[in-house]
Amino acid sequence: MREGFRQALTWLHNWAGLVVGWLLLVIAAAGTLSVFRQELDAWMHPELARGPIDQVRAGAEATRWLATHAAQAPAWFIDLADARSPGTLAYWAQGTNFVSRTLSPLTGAPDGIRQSLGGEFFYRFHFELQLPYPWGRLLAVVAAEMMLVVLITGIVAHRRIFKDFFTLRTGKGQRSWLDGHVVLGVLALPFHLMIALTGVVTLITLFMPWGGLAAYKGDQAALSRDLFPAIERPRSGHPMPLAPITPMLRAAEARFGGAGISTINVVNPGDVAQVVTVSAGEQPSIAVQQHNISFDGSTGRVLGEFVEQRPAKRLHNLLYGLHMGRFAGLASRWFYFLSGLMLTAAIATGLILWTAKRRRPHGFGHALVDRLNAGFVAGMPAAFAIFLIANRLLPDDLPLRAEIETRCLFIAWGAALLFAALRDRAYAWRELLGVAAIACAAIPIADLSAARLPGGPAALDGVAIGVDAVALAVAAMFAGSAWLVRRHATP
Amino acid sequence: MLSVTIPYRLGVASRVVAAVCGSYAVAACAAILLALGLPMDRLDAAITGSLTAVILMPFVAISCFWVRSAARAWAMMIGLSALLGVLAMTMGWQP
Repeated sequence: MREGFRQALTWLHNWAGLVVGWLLLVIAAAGTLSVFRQELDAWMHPELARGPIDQVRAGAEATRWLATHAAQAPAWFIDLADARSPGTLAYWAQGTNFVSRTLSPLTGAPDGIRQSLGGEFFYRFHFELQLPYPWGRLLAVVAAEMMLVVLITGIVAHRRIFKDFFTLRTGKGQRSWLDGHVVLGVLALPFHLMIALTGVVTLITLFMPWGGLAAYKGDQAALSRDLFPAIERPRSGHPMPLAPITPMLRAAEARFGGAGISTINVVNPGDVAQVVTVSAGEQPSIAVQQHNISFDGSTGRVLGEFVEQRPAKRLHNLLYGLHMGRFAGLASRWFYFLSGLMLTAAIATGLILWTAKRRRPHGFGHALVDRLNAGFVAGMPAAFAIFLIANRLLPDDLPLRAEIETRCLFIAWGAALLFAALRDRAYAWRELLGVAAIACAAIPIADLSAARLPGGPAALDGVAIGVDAVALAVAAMFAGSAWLVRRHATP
Repeated sequence: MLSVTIPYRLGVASRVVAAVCGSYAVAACAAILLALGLPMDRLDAAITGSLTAVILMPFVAISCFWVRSAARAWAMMIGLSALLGVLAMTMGWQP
């Protein structure tokens, strides 16, 4: 009976892992990169000076620019520049689409700044998967819930965790993949469990709304108001310019203490009923609690101040903050990044293990899994690298530049998947791994050789060194894998 | 996988459907019951209920694969959802 129990759960681990594996691989890789989302933002906007920012000035300049260039928008959403993220990201609705611009914290204008989604791309891709709302998010939360199933059954499947942990047999084909998979899985198991569960929590209102709807007798609007308290004033139709925003930002900054400002939202800009809501930035505490102040945009008067106090919402915010690594200093951020890399590698080795265990080279299913594995495990990182390279190679003033950068990524990925599908299987893996190694190694080369800001010094600071060094390390890892696979033909 | 017969494959498919739909139904009913039944402010109860439900869900899904047969998996899923659903209705839930 006990042996049957373990067998059933091992079976489930293998098959559930396969079904959700490619999706989880993409989510884990993009999520790992978005740990350093602000640093990637900085890297992808080399024109912007890095370092301390006058946030009040940046906010005032951004709203001044928006007042002339997005006057008709129903609302402006502003992610204010800070010490980590050197540009202000503004977005607003235009028709049925959202438009975004990276604005200078000094002038408020996008002129002279290459338009790029930067690290924001990986962050959005991590849970929206480049799909229309709500499908990407639903897929992501289902994947996270399935990841919990895979992890729990994995603990049972690889139950002799500590025995297995100390036996790493290298160069032995299937045994080596299994040992690698178990070591990667076990070493960061608490992180894997935490990130899967808190990942579900970030999208819980979409995935499991029934409790809330029952408690509120189906009144969706009342539930939303309680979940995300905000001051709502309908548009009046009477135009009114925005009152000077500098005093509002100064007052908010003073109230937030050292946390700084993270976002400024202006609802109904240019209308008598305009509301400016300023939210506090990150604090060095795990339980990041919402803290914001709303102002009457026409008079500058304070309308209300909100600090989250409700216990369950504070617990929810704690779990949310854990997923985002919001409390994290530089050391914890590196810990999240390395754990995320281990998770990505555990998923990749698990997928490879599925084919390594079943040596039936003529089966269609086996070939399909093997080729998809090559297109995802080697093709995806190559495509991500192309995205960073495109950022350096595309002309700065190209129209729709940010969209073209993303398109480069997906064209490269599509090409890799096609190559994996068509190429002789004896060569597909090592050649794609080689391409991934070359693409990653090309990132620092493109960075160092691209012309930097005219007249400005090449900013070889922590961000540049960090991104380029990680790219080189990943390139070395792929080169090593390509070399290993060369001996075994396929993994 | 010694003998992969058609009844075996149908049994697996049936368990998969029971696990996916059943675990979601059980979790949703648990969320509703807790949201209505917990002695707290209604928003706190709703959040606590939803958090409990999503933690419960993977274990319920897994249980569909270790019970003896697909029929038992279905019986368990339907039984649990019905039990939780009826209890929620006594708390005033109107489906």
